[in-house]
Amino acid sequence: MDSILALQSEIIKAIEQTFTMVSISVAAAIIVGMPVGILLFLTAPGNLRANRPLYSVVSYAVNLVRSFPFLILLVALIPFSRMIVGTAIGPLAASVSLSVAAIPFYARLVEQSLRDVPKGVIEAAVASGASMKHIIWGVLLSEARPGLVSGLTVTIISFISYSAAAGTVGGGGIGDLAIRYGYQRFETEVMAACIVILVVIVQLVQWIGSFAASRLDKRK
Amino acid sequence: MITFREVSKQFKAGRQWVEAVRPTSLHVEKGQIQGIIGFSGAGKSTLLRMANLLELPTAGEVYIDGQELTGLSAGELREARRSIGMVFQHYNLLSNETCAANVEFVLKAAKLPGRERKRRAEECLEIVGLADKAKQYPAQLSGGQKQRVAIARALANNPKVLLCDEPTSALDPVTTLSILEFLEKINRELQVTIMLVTHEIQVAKRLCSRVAVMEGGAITEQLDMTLPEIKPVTPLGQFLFDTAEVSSSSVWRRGEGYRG
Ligand SMILES: Nc1ncnc2c1ncn2[C@@H]1O[C@H](COP(=O)(O)OP(=O)(O)O)[C@@H](O)[C@H]1O
Ligand SMILES: [Mg+2]
Repeated sequence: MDSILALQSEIIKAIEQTFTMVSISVAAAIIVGMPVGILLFLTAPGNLRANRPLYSVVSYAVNLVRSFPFLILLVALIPFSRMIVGTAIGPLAASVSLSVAAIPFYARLVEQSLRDVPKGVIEAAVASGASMKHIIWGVLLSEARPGLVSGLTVTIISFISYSAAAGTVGGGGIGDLAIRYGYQRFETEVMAACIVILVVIVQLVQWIGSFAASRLDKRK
Repeated sequence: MITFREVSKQFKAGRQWVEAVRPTSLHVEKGQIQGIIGFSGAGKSTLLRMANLLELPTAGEVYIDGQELTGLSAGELREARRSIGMVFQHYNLLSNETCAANVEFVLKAAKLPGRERKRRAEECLEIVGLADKAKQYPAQLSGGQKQRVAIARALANNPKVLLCDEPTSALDPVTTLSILEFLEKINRELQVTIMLVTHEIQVAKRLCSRVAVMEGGAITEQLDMTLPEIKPVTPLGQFLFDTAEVSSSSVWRRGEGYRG
């Protein structure tokens, strides 16, 4: 117990760091990953803007980034992080790599959710003379809402866990704290405390995500 | 009002080409209710869907109210589609939006300002007798009610033409009848030209002023339903009209009787 109290401020700092890393990467997933997912959906064969070369290129790029083990991606992107945030260590630098990983991760989930929108509903919108922008906002994103939120929940939870690996480049965070104290210094209590915190956060995120998704779903 | 000139459509199914519609011409006068009847796979839906270019013809031209759709730019086509309503077998409503929002969607597509959209959506739901369901979601409605919302949506932009692809095929006979009566009323009161695809002869008989029989991607005959006696000459036409007399008319009448 004493060790936990002694580390109280460090634990709070670690939570803040995890929060920073996860929010930045999830924001990137939404701001960039979602449009990429929409692009993948629209350009897929048989869809509204079918374009096989473009689809293949984007799809290949998404697969490429997703197939990298995260730790390797993290190291490989050190020069890039330095270029963007001016440093290769700390939560901000780690956020760059996390964002690069989160964008294709969420893009695929967005593409998948959009595929679940019934073709006929999209067709009815096309037949009404709606513009592409209107169809994207008013049909695709609206009808796929529950799936988009579930996908976002999966992304947040995955990146809470990925952010632990970011500790290796001094990213910090709760996962990093657990590894440093629990694994390297055998302070089991600290590790246990970190794990409890992570479990609580993940449960909370999942609970909120599931609740929001079901509230948004009017299909019954 | 609707003219197909030598339209044809081929689909690529794997390595093969399927000739869904063979070169076909058809003219539908303003105010008519043109039925297209035939078995499944005859090419009825494909022909109908070429009327608003949901399906792009492989060859031939499509005219709506004198305007050649096949020659329009993407923007002009969107504009033209706003005066062509469409109703589908499975309603195709936005499931995460209320009935009112479903109607408002197409009004927004036609760039109607916000306040007018609300008013017009209410008015359209009123026309189909569902004003009280405006705030409900499609999942809360019966099949017939969903189809009424879909019709309200199709009518919202005051279309000249209404395209219906098996609009009653998912509905029971009683509901079917009420939807058909409703389509008839729309045709009569709003002067909307209707083109309707069906595989049920009773639907065609009840509603249409003309019926085209379709088989193997081609219209094999065109029947005038306003004549006192209808005499199909093709085997399919005779089959459809004759068997209908014996088999399903009793079911049909029962449906009619139900409504009292
Ligand atoms: N998108 C498509 N791709 C390939 N084949 C199609 C497509 N749509 C229709 N077909 C084929 O075209 C033919 C006519 O179909 P359709 O017009 O739907 O017939 P109907 O509405 O009379 O049942 C069928 O053989 C069908 O399999
Ligand atoms: Mg069909």
